[in-house]
Amino acid sequence: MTALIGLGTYLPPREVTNAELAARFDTSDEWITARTGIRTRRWADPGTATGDLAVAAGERALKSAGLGPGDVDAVVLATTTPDHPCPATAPDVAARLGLGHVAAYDIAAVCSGFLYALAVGHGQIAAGQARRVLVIGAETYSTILDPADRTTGVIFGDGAGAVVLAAEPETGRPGALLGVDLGSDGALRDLIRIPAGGSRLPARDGAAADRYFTMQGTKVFQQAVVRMGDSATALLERIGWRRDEVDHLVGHQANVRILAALARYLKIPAERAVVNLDRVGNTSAASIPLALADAAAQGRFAVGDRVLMTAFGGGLTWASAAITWPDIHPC
Amino acid sequence: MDTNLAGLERRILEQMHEQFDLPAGTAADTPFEVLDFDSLVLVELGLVLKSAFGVEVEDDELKAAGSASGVAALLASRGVTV
Repeated sequence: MTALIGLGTYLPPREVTNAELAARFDTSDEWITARTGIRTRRWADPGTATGDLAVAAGERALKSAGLGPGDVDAVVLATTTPDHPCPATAPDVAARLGLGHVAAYDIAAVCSGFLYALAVGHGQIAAGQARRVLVIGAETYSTILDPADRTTGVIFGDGAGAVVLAAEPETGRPGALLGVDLGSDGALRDLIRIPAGGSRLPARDGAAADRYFTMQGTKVFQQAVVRMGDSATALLERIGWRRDEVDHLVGHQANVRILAALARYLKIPAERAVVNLDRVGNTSAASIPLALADAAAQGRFAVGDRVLMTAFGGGLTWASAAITWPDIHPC
Repeated sequence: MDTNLAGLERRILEQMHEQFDLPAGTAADTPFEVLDFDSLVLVELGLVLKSAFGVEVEDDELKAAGSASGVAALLASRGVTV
């Protein structure tokens, strides 16, 4: 068994309101709110990179878990916005956290990244390769948004969230990771992407616009609800939870209308859905841990509550995971 | 109108009332444009229809259908019965 024993998050200080973006993109606060549910989001200041946010969240997760730098065996960092295309950001994060020469690697699964990283961290523990793994989702999407694209420009925000996973001998203890479901569909690779900067279209050969993040919103909306819905349903069946037994639905915070449609698709009461994207926007791989921390801070979670997490992202990728809420103090 | 089509219209309108904030007097033949359904609303409607009837309908097909009546005819043509 694996259990979640600590949770830490970090949001950069600069708040960017709809009013500011409405002026920039020739739209309105009403349009942005009606279309997405987002009112404000955080953007990192120039010079702040994803690794900085990851270190801050990682430090807080370790503090939440009551651990020192020598207590962690691996760092898994989910991100679409690494500090550099090469090397991965995780080794630098591990070094800056003083963790020593532990295994450290990035996971690239776009908005599904955190749950993919959770699955992989759990796998390392289950295989006996690690006793404790620091799993981080961190993003600075503000660095890859097309300044001319209203559809992505109003949606994405920066931030980071981290958890500590630990080997847990007892089954049934609060905090246990009860199951994961991962999936992909590469046929729809073009729905969410940054075209240039890789080997398919090297940066030198791409047009300037190809270096930015793009998304086909309407098709993504439909795919997101169905893939998250079907993945979460499969996981519920596997772990033996009925829909009415899910205390909290923590969906990837992409769009409040997606979250509402997802709750409806899953036949889970809408009030059980955790929503914090109104204040942080879509933070991609940081979305799930930020939502968990926000709900915990509001006192929504009781120890032992059944928490169903599900995410969807570029690839396409999707992932679901289920835990019972642990007895922790998020930082 | 045959009973299946009438039944489908009624159920589709019910689902629309449940999911969306429809103005008073919305009828089965009220055009989606009049209801101000944007592209995301059509996607949401497609998802509602998938849950209710088990049928896959794309948002551009719904746009072409244009109203609850049009959607009922589309579903009936796909063999959906109520």
